[in-house]
Amino acid sequence: MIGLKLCGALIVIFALGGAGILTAKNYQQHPQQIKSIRIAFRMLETEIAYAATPLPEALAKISGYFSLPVALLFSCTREALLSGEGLTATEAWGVALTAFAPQASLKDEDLEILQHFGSGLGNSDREEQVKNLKLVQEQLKVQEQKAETEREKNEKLWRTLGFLMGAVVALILF
Amino acid sequence: MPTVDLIFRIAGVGIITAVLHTLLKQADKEEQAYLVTLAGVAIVLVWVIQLIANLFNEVRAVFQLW
Repeated sequence: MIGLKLCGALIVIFALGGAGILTAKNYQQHPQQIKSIRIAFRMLETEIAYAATPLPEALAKISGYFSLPVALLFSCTREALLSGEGLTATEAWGVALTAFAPQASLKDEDLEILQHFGSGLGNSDREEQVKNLKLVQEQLKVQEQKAETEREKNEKLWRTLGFLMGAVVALILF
Repeated sequence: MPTVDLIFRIAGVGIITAVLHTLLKQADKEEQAYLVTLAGVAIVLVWVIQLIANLFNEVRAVFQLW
């Protein structure tokens, strides 16, 4: 009987500890993902401004450089553009963003910036595109710094907090 | 004796609450830290209040204050 109780207590502690670690991981990934997206935008800027690559090709090139959640944003836009449904670049970007949002650890603020960037994508000449890309990079840089300070505050906290919460719950139920 | 067991449980809650308080305070979440402390006190009070009620009943029985 006491063994069963102990087993349950351990399960509770490790379950809540795991949840805490997952939350900490989310905080850890947030600035990293923003940084990858920012670098991707810089690459897109180079592709548009100097290489004058067509958008789908540039997107394919960029999505090859990044790992999954960020690459999805670009490969999805490309697929939507080439799907033959006659979507504009803005619409394709929107489609990709809705597919990307649940898999990324980004906040609504960051997604809003990306959404806003999409409204200027592919509907003006090269210089305007570059300006738009520069703007979104600046905005993402600010978001990245914010996310970084938040990570410093919360990552370590949640790592410990989960296990302690588990201990409290186990103790109360014991 | 269930009462001795309770003492250890209260000690456990006290230790964990103290750690949580310092942890949250270091993370600049003072409000949550005080909330956690308050929650700890409330939980322990719920456990102890029955025993206190028992004690009062005993006292009344002993001195026949019915």
